[in-house]
Amino acid sequence: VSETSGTWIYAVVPPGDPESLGSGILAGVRGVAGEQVRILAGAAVAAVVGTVDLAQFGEESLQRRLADLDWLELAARAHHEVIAAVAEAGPALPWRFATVYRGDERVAGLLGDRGAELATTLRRLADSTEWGVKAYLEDEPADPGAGDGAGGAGGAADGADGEPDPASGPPERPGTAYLFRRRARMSAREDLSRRAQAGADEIHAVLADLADAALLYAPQDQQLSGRTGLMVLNASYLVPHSRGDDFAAAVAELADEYPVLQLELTGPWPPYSFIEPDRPAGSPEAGP
Amino acid sequence: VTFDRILAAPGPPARTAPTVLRPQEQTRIALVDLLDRLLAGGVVIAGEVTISVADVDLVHVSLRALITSVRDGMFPTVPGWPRP
Repeated sequence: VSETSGTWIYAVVPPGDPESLGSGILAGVRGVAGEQVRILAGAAVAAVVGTVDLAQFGEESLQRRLADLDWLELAARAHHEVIAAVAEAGPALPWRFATVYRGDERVAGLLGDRGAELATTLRRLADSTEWGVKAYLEDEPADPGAGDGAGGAGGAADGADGEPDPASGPPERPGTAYLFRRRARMSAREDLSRRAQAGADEIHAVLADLADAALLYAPQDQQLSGRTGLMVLNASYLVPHSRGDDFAAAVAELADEYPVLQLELTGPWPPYSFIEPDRPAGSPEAGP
Repeated sequence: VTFDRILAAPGPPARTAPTVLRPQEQTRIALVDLLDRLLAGGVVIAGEVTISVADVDLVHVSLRALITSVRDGMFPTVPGWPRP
């Protein structure tokens, strides 16, 4: 391996029969650089890797390219597709996206030093898979009056701190009536959001109970998700294969039980979110 | 068990339970779901690593800056890999 080449790691798999994996499931699987993905065998585990050009995948250029959303999407999907291909064939530990080593020797050293630990994690996750559950509050409360800003006569009083004077009694002037309506709408909306969040907490508790581990992600950026509704749950659950059907059924039941929320189930995912052992259910993921 | 599958595709709001889709109905994984996991999950081993985007926040920050300035229609599908 020349100094201009790096080794990108996709996943770690059990050491058995890496050649059949290489000639079978990995045949034709291309990595983030369009490279043929291959297997680096170790004693305790084997790594699924690809050779990348450090001129493009060196730290500086990689950081720059990660800010290019189109490039990021292609690379992220390529990374995932390699992992998904090997995970479909058997247990696999996904590697953190955009991790490059200075050549195969470094990876071999890593497999030697940390192989036992990685093999333990592989065994822990071998019989489980990850499911994602998201919940949205899509509905806005019905708006009986005119929309904000269409208040006409109330325009002059229309301010964020334009509370009606309680001493003025029942609303008589159009502007005051507008403010009362507006306040009622805001209060209804806040109440709905609060109930939606409470519902999401209950849903998470039920699902975490069915799972071996659970993780809360930060709500997704609306522009990235393309969703307008308020996201009140973005979670992942580690579920044994044997309980997968029960888990999906529970999500369906919860969707019926909480009609105000729209639930989405994604997966099964390779166990990206559960590499760290004993992640307590419900521990929040630090998010921006 | 197959991976790279989405069971409930994002779509118009519908108060229906998630439905298991058949393979031919399976939709593309949402990038945002993928990024949640790829940027925060997976094995991270320090030491031997020469490059690791450990600073997930940094990526998110640049993502946000990017998407707010770029466009409304998110993520045109770009078939095929590799590309130049």
